[in-house]
Amino acid sequence: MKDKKAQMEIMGMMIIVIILVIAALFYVKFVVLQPKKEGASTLVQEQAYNLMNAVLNVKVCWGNVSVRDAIKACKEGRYLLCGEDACIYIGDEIKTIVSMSMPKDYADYQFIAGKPVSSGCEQPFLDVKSKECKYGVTSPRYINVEAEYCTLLKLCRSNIK
Amino acid sequence: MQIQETILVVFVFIIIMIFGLILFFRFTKQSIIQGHFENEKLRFESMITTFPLTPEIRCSFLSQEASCIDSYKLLAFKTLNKEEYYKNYYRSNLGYINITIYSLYPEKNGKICESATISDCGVWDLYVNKPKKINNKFVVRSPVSLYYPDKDGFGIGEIVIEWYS
Repeated sequence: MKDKKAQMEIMGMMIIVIILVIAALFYVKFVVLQPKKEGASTLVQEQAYNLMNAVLNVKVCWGNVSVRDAIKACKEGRYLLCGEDACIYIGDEIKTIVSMSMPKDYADYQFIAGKPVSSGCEQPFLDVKSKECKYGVTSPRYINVEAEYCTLLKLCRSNIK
Repeated sequence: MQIQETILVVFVFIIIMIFGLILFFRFTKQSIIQGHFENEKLRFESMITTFPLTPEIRCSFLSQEASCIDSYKLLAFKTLNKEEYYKNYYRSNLGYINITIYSLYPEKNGKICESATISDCGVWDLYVNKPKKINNKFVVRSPVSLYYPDKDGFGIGEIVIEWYS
């Protein structure tokens, strides 16, 4: 009789220990081993957008025309910039500007100007890239005030192709 | 004998409870410290977006704010930071960080910008506050648009923020 009671108490203790172990496992799973939040790609998106904004602000053609206006001229297709075709001229300028200002760890880029549609930026009329830049982080799109065109800048790491 | 067994069971149970509670509070404390650190890191990373928007350095045209940094305001900010009152104000707001802006386009220039060298410089060491003991150092960087009022032109720079914990 006494042995049986002792066994019952040990059983009770075992149950408590098991409950504690299960609680500890749950705690470890949901609190300690919480998956890390994805913040890195947002930061790169921010970098890409900041670079795109900075490029659009720059004045080209002896400081007379901003890249923003030059892209508009390229879209309208009836302007000459600094004696050259607007699209060719601004494409070359963007190439020079972006290559000099690339963030650290990023070697390749793709700059697109196209038609703003609800889902993004389509029918590109200007596509400037360093090399093949397939897998990278794309900036949020910029749409000019008159909503005539939009731009995107994609940054790719040099070792990811 | 039966009482002794009961006391033993209760004693062992209490020991396990105490052990469990100690572990629980240790993990909780660690997760609070970790949470605080993550929050601080997030705040630090978001400074890449928020700091260039501060009116002290942001450029404006006829009171209309624009998405660029005024290079002359950078110099003013640096000078302001030397005054004790503002130094304490920024230290309490920004904490242990270093903020530097480097010019990248139209040209890289390693000279530090001061009032005397404003037309030929490319590095603005805006805010420097290093702790005596550094455990961790994190760096975030981002391109920024720089406005040069003397030339009425825009360049591209890189803002580098270093955070010490």
